[in-house]
Amino acid sequence: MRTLRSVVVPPKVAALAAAVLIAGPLSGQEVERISGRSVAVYNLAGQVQIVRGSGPDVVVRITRGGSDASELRVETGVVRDRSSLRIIFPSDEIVYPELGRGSNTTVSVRGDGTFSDGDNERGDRVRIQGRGNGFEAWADLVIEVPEGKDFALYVAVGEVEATGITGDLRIDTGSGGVTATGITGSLEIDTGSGSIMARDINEDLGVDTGSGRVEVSGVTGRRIEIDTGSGGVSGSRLEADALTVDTGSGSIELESVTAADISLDTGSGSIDIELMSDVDRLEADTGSGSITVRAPADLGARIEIDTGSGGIDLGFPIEVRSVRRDHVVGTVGDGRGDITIDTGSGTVRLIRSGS
Amino acid sequence: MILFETLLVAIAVMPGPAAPAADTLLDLRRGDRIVIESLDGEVSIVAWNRDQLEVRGEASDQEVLVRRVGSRVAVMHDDQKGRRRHVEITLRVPSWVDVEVDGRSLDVRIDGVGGRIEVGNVRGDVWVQNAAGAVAVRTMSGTIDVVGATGGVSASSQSGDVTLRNVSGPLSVESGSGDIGIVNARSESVRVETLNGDIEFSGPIGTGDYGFFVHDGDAMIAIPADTNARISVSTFDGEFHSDFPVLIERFRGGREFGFTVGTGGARVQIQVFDGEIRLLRRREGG
Repeated sequence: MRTLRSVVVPPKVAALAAAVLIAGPLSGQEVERISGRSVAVYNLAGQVQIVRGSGPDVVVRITRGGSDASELRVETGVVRDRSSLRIIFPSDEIVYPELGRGSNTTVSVRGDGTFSDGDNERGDRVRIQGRGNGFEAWADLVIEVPEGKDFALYVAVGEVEATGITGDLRIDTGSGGVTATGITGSLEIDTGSGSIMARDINEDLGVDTGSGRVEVSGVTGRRIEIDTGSGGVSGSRLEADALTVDTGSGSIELESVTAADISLDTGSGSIDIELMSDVDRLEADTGSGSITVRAPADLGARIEIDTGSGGIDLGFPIEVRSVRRDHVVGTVGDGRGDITIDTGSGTVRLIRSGS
Repeated sequence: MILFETLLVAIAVMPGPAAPAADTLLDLRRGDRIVIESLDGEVSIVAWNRDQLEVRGEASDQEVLVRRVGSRVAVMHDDQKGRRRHVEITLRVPSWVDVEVDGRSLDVRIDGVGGRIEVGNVRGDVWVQNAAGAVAVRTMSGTIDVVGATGGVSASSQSGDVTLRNVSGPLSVESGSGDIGIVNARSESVRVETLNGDIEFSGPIGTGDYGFFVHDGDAMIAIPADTNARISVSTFDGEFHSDFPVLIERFRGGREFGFTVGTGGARVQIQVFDGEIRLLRRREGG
């Protein structure tokens, strides 16, 4: 594995130099090329665009910002079996105005500039804030990822946008929204705080956000997993063998879902799902909120519905032996498969699609 | 012109404590109606094969009168001040005669009467067996038992239990706070209602209307396996259990739903506000 590094002289050098002298921060663009199938990029602060690349290497175009930007270092090399590029911030108090006044986040950064990648080695605590005294710098990145790469991006603070990638992609942000569109390959997105939008994903999808809304659409894969601590989840055109959505607090709204195994769980919030085909297993559970399942007419399953306080509305003929206002156990259609619906407080509706 | 025919009969004229009454016989004609009125105590009315009324029994220190006015034959207590006195009497009546009983605190037993039977009572139990005509019983706080009635039964008790066994014809039964049991009933029209009691019903379901209504109690309905009925269930905060699987076409709000057993036909309505509904397979003869 080799790591190439090059610096592209920005155009209009004289003008840029003058600008640097006047404004302070560097405004030129540096370019790094990272070879290897598995590549990781680490950046504590800055916006990142990931786009489809054409050459053999991952190309990282770096635009520095902030009054202390000149002190940022760019390091490359293999770290834990991956080719990597790390933006080194030589301070543990970083100011990134895009974060906004009153906002801050803290991350443990190792000496080599890596963080948040799952390795247990702890580093120095680095605080990033929107305003105040500190090292004001950030690095906006445009990363070109060619086909077939296994690419990972780690950003502590900053928005991330990925478009048109063919390959496996992992995006991890501490604070900042993520938008991914047109990904052919598995996609894993993990953000501590920030909304996530994933559209037209052609492989497995994993989404995890501590706080933030999640929107997914046009996903086809074996596995779709969405986990949010606080924030609603909406989705459409989802096809997978297994679909799991778990939110601590927030509603779940899914349209045009085709999956054999579905698990939907929210601590507080309503659940609304439209099934396009019969299921082997569907579990929908909310502590507080209504649950609506819209299913095709040929739905067949053993069904158990429980609501602590709320009614039950079934649009399918159901064969029962026992019914309570808040509890129904019975069989719909051919009875193959299991559907379990449970809400602590709220109405449960199992109705035919289109009704 | 109205013809009054009055017969005064002393059946217990011995002074002091009640004593055995002398037999009293009165010829009756088709169309006559026997009315027991203003009596407390115990009255037993048994059909026999003679067209005569026989009055036997014990009475307290007042006389029991049998008075005919037209076709109305009244059996009453002869108290000039209108006070009711305790009696223990047995009447033997023709099987075809209509019988009306009006008591305040009266236990009534009627057996084998083929005419219409009407009983109105405040306190006391009513027991009717093998009645061939329509039976109507109202009591405030007594139990009602009707066995083997074939002409339909209307029964109401404010606080007592009502039990019908081996009955047929239209059935209308109410109780305020008592249980209602209807066992082996054959009827095309059934309405059963209790406020704070349980309902038990077993019998074949024909093609008519069947309604079971409970506010705070359970309803246990046993029907044969070959029943054809459309069954509507309503429960505000209760439960429904069935011995056999039932197909609910539409379950809305969790409180009202319906299903069809067999090919439909009869209309069965079961409403329990707060209680348990059990639909059972009826065993033959149960």
